[in-house]
Amino acid sequence: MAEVILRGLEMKRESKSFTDSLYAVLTGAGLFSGPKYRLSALSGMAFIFSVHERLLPLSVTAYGEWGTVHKRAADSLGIFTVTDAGRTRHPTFKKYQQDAVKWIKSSLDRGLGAVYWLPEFGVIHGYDDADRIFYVQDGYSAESKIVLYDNFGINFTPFWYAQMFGGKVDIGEKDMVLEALRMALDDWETPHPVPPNRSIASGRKAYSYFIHALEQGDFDSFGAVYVWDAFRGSRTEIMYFLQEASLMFPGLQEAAACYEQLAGMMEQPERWTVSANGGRTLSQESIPALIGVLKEAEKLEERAMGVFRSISVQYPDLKRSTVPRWGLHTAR
Amino acid sequence: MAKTILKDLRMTTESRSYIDAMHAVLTHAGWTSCSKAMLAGMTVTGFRFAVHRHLTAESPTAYNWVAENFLAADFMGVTASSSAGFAFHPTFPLYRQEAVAEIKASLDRGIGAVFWKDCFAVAAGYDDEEGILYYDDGSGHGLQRLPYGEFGQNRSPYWYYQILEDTVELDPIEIYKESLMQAIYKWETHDRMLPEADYACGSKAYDAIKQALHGGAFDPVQAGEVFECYAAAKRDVGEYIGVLASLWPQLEPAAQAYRKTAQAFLDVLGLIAEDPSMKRQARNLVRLFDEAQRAEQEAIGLIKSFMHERIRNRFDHVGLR
Amino acid sequence: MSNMHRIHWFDQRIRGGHYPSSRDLALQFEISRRQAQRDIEYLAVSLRAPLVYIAKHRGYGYEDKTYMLPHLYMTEEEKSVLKFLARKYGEYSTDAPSGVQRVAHLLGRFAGEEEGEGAGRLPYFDADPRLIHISGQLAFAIEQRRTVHLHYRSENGEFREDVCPVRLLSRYNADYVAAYQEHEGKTRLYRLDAIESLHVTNRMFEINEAGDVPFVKGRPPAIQPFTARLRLDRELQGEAWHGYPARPAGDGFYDIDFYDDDAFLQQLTLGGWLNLVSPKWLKTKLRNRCGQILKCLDGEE
Repeated sequence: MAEVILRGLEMKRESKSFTDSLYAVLTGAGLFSGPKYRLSALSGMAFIFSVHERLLPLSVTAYGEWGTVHKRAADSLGIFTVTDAGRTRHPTFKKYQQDAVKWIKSSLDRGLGAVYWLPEFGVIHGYDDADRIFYVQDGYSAESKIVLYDNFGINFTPFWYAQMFGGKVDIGEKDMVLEALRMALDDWETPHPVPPNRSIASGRKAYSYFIHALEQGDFDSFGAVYVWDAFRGSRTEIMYFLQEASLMFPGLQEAAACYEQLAGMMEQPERWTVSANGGRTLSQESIPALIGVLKEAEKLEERAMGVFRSISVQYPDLKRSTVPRWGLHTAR
Repeated sequence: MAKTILKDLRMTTESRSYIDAMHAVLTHAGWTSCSKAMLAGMTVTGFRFAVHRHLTAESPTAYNWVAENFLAADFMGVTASSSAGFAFHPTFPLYRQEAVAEIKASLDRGIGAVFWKDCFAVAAGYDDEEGILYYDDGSGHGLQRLPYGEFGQNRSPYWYYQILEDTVELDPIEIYKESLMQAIYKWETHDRMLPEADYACGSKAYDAIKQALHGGAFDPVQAGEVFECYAAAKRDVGEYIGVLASLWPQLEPAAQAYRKTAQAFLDVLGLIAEDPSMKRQARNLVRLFDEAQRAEQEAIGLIKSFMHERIRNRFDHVGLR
Repeated sequence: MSNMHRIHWFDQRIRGGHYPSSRDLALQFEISRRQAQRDIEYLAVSLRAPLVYIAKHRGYGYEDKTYMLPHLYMTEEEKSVLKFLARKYGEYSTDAPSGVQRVAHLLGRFAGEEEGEGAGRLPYFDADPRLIHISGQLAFAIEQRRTVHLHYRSENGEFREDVCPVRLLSRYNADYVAAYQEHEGKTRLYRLDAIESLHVTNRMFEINEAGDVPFVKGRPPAIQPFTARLRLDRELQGEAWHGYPARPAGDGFYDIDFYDDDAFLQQLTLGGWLNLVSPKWLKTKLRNRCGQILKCLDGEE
């Protein structure tokens, strides 16, 4: 009857929940050291911007097939990863669930936490065979959530997802930055992250969905704040990252300046939201100004993407010039 | 230091597709007694039809192996895990190590594993002392040797393996019906992974073939290989729908339509034997592909009306269960 | 088949002594004669209306004047409630389990929803009267515990057998009856659409054990509760402790099920128990909670 609880794993909700989870797991295992914004950018997560046409809260996590995006994140960091996921209603679920419980426990035995869709993404940092439970950190409360082995993967969404990590190879910093720019371009140019679903837009197109929803006035009030917070947070992360990265690629200074300007426009977070009924909603009076900020932001990002592109084309990109035999979409 | 060689795990090639490998593993494990044709239908792989616009030899295996081969197993109620990547990626050595470990573990459980060696092959054994895997790629050379360190080093830049793990009982009628839904999906949907500028899928694959034959921008040797693979696939599908028609007589015309398609492909192969350059017979070849396309379109139309209720209820995404 | 309003109209016309014909029906609703004829057939066959064609009036009447359209007459208000519910169920997430979608459709049908009119993306099911009838007979047999004689056609061939139906189920896209087969001694699933015919016999059966129904594993899984083992301060009357399901575990101990750990912790702080044996994590959580409270009590930060 074994019990393992990993200490030193600190999951805190500051960025996208996957990024927060990834950061906790990797820093806890010594596989990454550095500020969260750097991990966010190098893993490609920072650049991701996805919006549902009605600004539903799921916008922030509906950025594509998680298996693909999160494997890409690990690949770009040089870290081995295994992801598993599916729909709980499919007949094979129970088998995969039991399998996942096993390999997560073995990951914990090796001292590595695992990422788990609660929802949102959290970190499994311990297990106890006697109680048949996992300890999961959700980044909000200091106390871990408890998930029974038998309930692993079952939640109010139709999906389950888990991911663990392994060894690491060194990838040159310059290569990692280059790959980050390329992931940013990939996301910018992908209008719909989960086709054929067109109710969610990503990258450049996400702007038009966001603006349109605000203009129409028909949107989920909690979701709108969440999308806005996530947007502000991620664009700030990109700014810090580019400031650093321009030391390696001086051409990036111009892109960093775009994001600095963008961050400047979004200052004073209180300006955009009001507290109501124990939660926050977008302040009605600020919406026109918010729309203005978004329109300006889109132009700034477009310029930054142009800078990324001009740097990217200077170096060969074997990965993107070869048609793969995986990814882009996972099993339906 | 361990050594394991699974007895009687051998592979033959027909369509030179994943099915050849999957069939070998599942039959050896006692998890199916179906023919390859039935397997091709139930797993939907037989219905997939995609070509590079220059009819390159890799066309029949140009698809998302991780997703589609997973689904192939899933549709059959077989749980599987797999992984794939570019061999030139810096993380490859980490994945190679894991791949070999997983394959060996599967062999220890008495189940062969599928992997890519410029074609789908079956790992049938290993020897730690020599540091090799034993595999069969259906080429008729029996068990061949692959040093662990060479796993994933292929002419094509990909590595891939799939472990088939266990079975779950499924209602065969549901498997058949789902395969029909997926067949429609394959006919009508372009594979996201393949850039449309270079590849065509489903019904449009026929158009691309006809265009290539007209324009002459292709290597006839490679094109011939492509047509051979798909001829086997169409034959399998015809057989499969024929079996379904014995259950559901309304499907008999669809079975006949597929048989027509299969016959057209056979005729294509006949013409190619006569004219390997495909120049003289180009017009006849185009005519045959046209026939094949019309017959297959007819078959899909019949399948659609047979499955109309379920199709409607899947709204935009006929492939999503 | 959203033709209930047409059926209703036709029924009213018959009652009013107007002897409506298929032509009248077609004209009234601007549908084809063939569609009108199908509606009339539906009324006669599926709704078992005692329709009779009166040549003299070139239209239909009821042989039995006391015939009532079963359960189909409803007020506009009732219809609008159903339409509302149908829409709510129908809009319930794109990955909604098919059971929800079926409910949505059923509600929509009763409300007489026209196709295309706000029906939007509600799933549509061919209401096969035969399936509905078979389903009804099986439901009756299940309730009365009657053995059923089945004529069944599957890919293994045709056969007839006597089975004891236990439950009707819907899985993915098909309807099944789980039935216990006496001489095989086990329960298996039979597809309703593969039943050629069935006959409910007068023989009753006993089911001693639940039996494992195959394919049930495919059902969207339900969340399992946590189970705490507590020694209560008194014997429990009934099967619940403050609303939490409780099972005796011997020696004054009880296994108590709960889903919400915070709520259950709160319940624990109210007392009524002498010993918390398991789970360990709950004990730890409770200990931490108490520790925090004590700190506050003692004025520590």
